[in-house]
Amino acid sequence: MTDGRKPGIGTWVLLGSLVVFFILFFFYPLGYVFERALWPKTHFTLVFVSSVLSNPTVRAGFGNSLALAAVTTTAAFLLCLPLAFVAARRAFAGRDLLAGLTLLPLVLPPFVGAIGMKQLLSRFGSVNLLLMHAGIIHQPMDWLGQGKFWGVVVLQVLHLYPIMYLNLVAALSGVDQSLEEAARNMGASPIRTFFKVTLPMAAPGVFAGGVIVFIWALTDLGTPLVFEYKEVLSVQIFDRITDMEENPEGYALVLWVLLLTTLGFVTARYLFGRKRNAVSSKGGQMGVRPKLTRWGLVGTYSLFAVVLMLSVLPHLAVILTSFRQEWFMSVVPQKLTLVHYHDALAHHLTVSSIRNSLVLASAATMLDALLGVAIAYVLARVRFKGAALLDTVTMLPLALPGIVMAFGFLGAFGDTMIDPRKNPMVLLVIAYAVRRLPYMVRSAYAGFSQVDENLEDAARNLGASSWRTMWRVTLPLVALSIVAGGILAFAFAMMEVSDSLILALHEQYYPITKAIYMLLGRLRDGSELACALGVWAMAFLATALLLAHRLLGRRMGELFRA
Amino acid sequence: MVAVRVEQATKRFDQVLALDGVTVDMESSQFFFLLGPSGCGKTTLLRSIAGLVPLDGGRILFDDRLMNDVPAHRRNAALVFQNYALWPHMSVFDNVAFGLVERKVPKAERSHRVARALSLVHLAEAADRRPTELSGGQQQRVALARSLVVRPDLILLDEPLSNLDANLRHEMRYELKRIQEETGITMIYVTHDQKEALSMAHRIAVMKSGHVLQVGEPEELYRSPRSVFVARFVGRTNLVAGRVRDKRDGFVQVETDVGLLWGRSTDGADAPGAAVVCSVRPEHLQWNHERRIKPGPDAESSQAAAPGSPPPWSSITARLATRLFMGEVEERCYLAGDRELVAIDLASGPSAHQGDEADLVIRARDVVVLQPEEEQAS
Repeated sequence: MTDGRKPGIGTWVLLGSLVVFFILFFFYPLGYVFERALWPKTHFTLVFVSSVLSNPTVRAGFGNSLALAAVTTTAAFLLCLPLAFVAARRAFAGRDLLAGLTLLPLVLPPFVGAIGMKQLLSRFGSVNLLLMHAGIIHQPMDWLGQGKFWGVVVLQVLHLYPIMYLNLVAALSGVDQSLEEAARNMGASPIRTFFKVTLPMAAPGVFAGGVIVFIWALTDLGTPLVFEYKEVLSVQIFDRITDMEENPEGYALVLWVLLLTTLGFVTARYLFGRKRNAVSSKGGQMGVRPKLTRWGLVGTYSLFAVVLMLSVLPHLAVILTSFRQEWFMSVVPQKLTLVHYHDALAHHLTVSSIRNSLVLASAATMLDALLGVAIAYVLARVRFKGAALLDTVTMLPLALPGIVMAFGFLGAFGDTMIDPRKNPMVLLVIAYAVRRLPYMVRSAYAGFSQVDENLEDAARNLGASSWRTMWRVTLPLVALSIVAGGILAFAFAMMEVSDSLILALHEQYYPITKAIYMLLGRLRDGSELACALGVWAMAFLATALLLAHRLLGRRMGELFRA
Repeated sequence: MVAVRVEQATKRFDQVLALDGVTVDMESSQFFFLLGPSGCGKTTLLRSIAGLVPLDGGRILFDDRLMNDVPAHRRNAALVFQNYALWPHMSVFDNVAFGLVERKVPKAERSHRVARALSLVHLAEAADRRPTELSGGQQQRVALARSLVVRPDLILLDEPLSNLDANLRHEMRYELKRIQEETGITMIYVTHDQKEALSMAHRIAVMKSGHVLQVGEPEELYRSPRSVFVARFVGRTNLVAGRVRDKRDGFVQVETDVGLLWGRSTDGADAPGAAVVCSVRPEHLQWNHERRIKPGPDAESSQAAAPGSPPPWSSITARLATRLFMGEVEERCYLAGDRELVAIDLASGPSAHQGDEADLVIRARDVVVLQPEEEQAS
């Protein structure tokens, strides 16, 4: 390892523009939220920040959101623990395939899934009918009334468990197996070894993943919106957008959300410093993965099958809905048709929204690629004071929920050149780009750290300038990582919900997610049209994710952690 | 303390046969070494004794107890890992106390015993620190303390000194030997470093490709290797190929490139005309300076005195090619014809000059005549 280069003029220019970019599009909107929440008129006051909590509806929303996030995170953890354990520690046929499939739900947009879920859970929907046919219940259950909370939990668990899974697998494979053998050797049974050594060792990774899941579940807007579950923070913030000019309550709520997520993020990063468990493993036994026994195999396959089935079920319902002609009082539709695809494409919202999304996502990806590669290069190769700060700042967007960002943008940039009320395209690109920048940086950084600096030095030694070296040696070697990061950034930009719902206010600027949401509200065939559009989006995203997984492989887990 | 008996142990990892019918006895309260190059199966054997690697076939006995089906955590055979395997999320104290907690030792006794184990390895003051804050040598001693504190039936050590620098390694040899003698615990030690094995072991098993080639005390292995592999792996040696010409009283005369050599015969390497290899340790190759050594009858060697017995000395003419002064000794490389022979002499001996012609003499009992390697392998 060389000592890294001294920062040159290019580095300072890059850092300068980053500072400007982040101040303008990250700190300024946040600052604006603070200002409007704490200095609504001319003087500082905590009245709104505290009074908003005295509103019983808001208090209920607060409690519900926290409970939702906590239950979702816990459930995802419990669900993933056995899956991740066998994937990390046991050898069985089809392991890689199953590991890849496990990631699929991540890109099945949960708010589209929610439409399908509603279909399954409605009064005479498939679930009630199945249960009644089986004689388990005699009256249809009211899943969507009192049970909305659990409906949202189930959808979010099924959507977010891959993040937990990736982190758990990475954490479990990272535990030096001789540490476990040492515990066994000292008299601890396999189960005690797991709880006394394996799990504590994996804790930082688990917590890092858990925080992302928690923040995500806490601030998700799409799913509760589709379920019409209004008693959560995200929806309550969404509802306050209309009168945000006059009423500081919305800002106060956003401030609370921000506090919660920052707390989680900071805990993950500093309480569980990542280096603590990095011990030299020189001479450690690279564990041979034991083969599963016959019963272990049966259990593993069934577990994966059940989880995968459950997680695609809502989306299966979306597909069925998109094809249905009649679906009443039966478990699956009686008659299928392609007419909704035709109608969806004929609808004036559809074509423009697809076009908008492609333009927005491409632009955001380009911006991310430019910024991300430059930042990653500086972090990996240049030694300067403030590298740690740069790293932290680039990762901050992970802690920033879409609703907070969109709310800040809408407020801060009203009445400017880029007022989203007039034309939101610029801000949408920036919002998408900022929120996914961490994935791009992580991905590119992973690439750069794997390229031995000697390879670059050799090129320079043979007469290549820094730029030529970058172009002929470094970039070709890290291209895969950059492409994979780009694919993820693009896919997530296409499916971004909260920014899109909040910032796009005119029909001609709707991205695809907002179009789906608006179609849903249409009478008669709204769900069918929304689903038809959703199926298209799902197919697209699944392809993108599988591609990224192929390119990144195991390192994929690195991208989803605090 | 237990004695360990391994019978016909076999273990296969995918393509590799790591243990191929290994049988070996390790006596109670001894310091026993498994010595061999990497990939010889020594670590696999150690780990199967610890219960971390299940055998495909064969038996492992502690005294008379069959251990094959006893899980790792019930064997009471403490393992010191090559990378120490200290738990980074626990303090040094908790690391050492771990086994006592698992054995449900009461709290008061626990801290007493941990303190004693730590002071035995001279680390009493480090109890509250994290393993990551310790140096390699200190971590190594914590790992040792962790094993000692549970009063195991035996201690297994997997190349415990290989991650230490040379000085520390030397110091720890004394330390380990002292602790083994003080505690009287049976210890089984895996290493590829023959000096470690020779200097510390009561007995050594030399392993190669999943087989045990020879078991014996250090001196026995050094003086009487039964194969070229053992001769070469344990200590340094000069190997000279040749053919058997004559055979008398357990000695054979071998015709080699460097001249006629008399040496001790071993099984399968004494038939006249047979291709053999002579092993001569560097310190046994002596420069007969001014012919002070008379290659006549030798008072030390009784067989040689009898009439008709083989001559006690062989003699070779060579030229001194290179000298390496190494402090207490001097290493000399002679050329006999075009064969290099390495000798070690006391540096205080008669001085020599590069290019000198020299008579080299070797006592017959210092030459071991062995079967060539390929034939032994079959």
